[in-house]
Amino acid sequence: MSLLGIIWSMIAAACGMLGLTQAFLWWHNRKRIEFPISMLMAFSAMAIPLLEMNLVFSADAAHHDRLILWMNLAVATVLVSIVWSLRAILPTTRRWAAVLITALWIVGICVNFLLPGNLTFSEVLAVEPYMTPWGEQYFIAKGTINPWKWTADITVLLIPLYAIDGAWRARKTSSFRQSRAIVWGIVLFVLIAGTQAILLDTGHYQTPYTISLAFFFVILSFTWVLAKEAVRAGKLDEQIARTLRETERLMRINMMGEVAATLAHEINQPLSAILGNAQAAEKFLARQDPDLDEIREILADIVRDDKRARDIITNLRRMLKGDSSEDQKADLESVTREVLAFMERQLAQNAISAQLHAEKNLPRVCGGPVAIQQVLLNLILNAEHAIIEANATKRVIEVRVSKKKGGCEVQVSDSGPGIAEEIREKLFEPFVTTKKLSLGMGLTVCRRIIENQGGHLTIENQTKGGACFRAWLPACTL
Amino acid sequence: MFSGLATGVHAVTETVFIIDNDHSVRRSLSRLLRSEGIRNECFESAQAYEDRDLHNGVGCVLLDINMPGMSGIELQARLLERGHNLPVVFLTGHGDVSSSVTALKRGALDYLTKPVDEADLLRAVRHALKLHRRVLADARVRNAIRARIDALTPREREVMLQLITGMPNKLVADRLQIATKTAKVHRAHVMQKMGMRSVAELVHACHLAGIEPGAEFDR
Repeated sequence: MSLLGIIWSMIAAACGMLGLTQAFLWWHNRKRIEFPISMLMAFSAMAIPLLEMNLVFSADAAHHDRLILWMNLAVATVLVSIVWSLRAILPTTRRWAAVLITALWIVGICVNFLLPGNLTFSEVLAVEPYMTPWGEQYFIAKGTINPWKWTADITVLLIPLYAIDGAWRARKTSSFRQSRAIVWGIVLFVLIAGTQAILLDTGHYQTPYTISLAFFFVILSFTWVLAKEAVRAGKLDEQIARTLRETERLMRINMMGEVAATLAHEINQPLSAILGNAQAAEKFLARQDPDLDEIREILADIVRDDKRARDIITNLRRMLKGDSSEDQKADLESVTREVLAFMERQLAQNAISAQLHAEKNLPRVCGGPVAIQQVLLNLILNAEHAIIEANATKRVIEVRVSKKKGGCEVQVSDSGPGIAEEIREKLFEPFVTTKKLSLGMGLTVCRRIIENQGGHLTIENQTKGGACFRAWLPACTL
Repeated sequence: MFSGLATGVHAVTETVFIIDNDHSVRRSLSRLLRSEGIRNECFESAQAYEDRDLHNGVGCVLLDINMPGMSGIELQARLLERGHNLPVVFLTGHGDVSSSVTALKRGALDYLTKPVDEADLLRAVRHALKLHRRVLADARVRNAIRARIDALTPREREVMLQLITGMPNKLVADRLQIATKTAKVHRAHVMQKMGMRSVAELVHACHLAGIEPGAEFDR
């Protein structure tokens, strides 16, 4: 088999592989524009060695003319995509230069297809045979150079300048460290392709076309840089996820601290009553003629208060119980009721009334009751805070539970001032907050919890004023 | 001393006012006081107590700090504005340190942490009642002395003011530019109308009524 044939086939295959790699990266990161451009670059570059291979083994001038026509299109696509994907990676490159190079190639391609001949030769006159050092015969076309060929030639000079300039301007930033391999790849490409072009054009030395080999280095460098970055981004994502999980745990502990403080207070009341009653009973009994009716009444009171304390502890236990695997569905209404009952005292203390409206016959939703409680508690605390902070005259928190789109939705709306439009959508991002003393993680974690259960958490401002959070959870079919 | 001045102090019943939003706690506190024979009245909110007429006998207030609506601290401040002089004993849950401090700074007599032990409660309540009894008794004595001073003629009052500085009749007479004999008559009237047997007693009575030697009469 021919050595030239082997080399070109391998380059074509390698370019195809690199194109597939880019396609894969694009699939996983659809927001990044450099991946599709680099993919286009690699697949166009794959066409070049295949065309070159056909070219060098053909002795027919008309065939040469046709192949060079298509080769020019492939080269144009590769070069223009190199320019724009480098710009996506290295933003310090000059936009006008990228536009200029693209414009030059649009002119070139128009000339290529619309005028007679192709962009390289306006007329192919002859095809001449040559021999490689190892004795393989190949053919090279000779003809009249197209007067528009300079549009293509000048870009070969402009592209490395464009790359080096961009790299120089970014020399101290991290984007340069990331992309310097590409800059070296482009410079290497110019050295190889440029030298070869000069040798061929001046007729001092004849070689088969091997532009594809030069392109290969550039595409290799692009893939190397982009893949490295994709791996880094993946690691970063994992780190963020881990941090969020940790924050969620800390918030839970923090919230439990608040829960415990409130419960300590709640339990103190029946305890005080029991102690007072028991000590009063002792005194009554110590009298000469104890009033047994009084004693009976006291004992009844003690029993009632003891039960009250027990109920508080039962509630606490239910709230503290972690999400066990068998408990992955929840009755949204009763969960909401529990949270409101828990908050009742604190809300009343701040003169805020909480209203619950719940539809009848709601389906159970996916998700652990404790996780949902945590979200609701957070939303209600936010609503309370908004009302207190604004010192609103109307002090109402409305909670609605309703059926919606194959699941249930709970709305928490407050009579506070609402949320400024410019911050509204960003509110769920980490470290975004409207409160003075807040880390800005609460809503981030809430959205994460709801989305983990397959639901979504959104916010809007009501037309009558005040913010409204909507948490939707899918119905549990199990 | 001061015969007949402090009559009627025990005539009005001593009452403890219990203010707590928790029904059970109220009932048990009330029983505990009743078992010791201490009369008490219960209120379910600060507002309910504020709406009541001011108590004019001996009493004290047992006030829960943490209540929905008006808090105990708020009520205390409002009562002070209205010139309420009943001693206030606060009831707090655990950890309400900052509000307890505020309460004490504003003149609360004491604060008890729930659950309250009977002995602590009774000690605090008895102490508060005793204090208020003394405050009221002092007020009555002061009022009685003031009433007697009001019965003096302007000249007699002038003589009394000189007397309590410890001056002999002759100097009093010189100071007021009257005859020594006249001064002696005035002095006898002052001692009789004030019901005092000696100048020392008179000085003490004036002190209780807020009149110090060397003062000028403002009325």
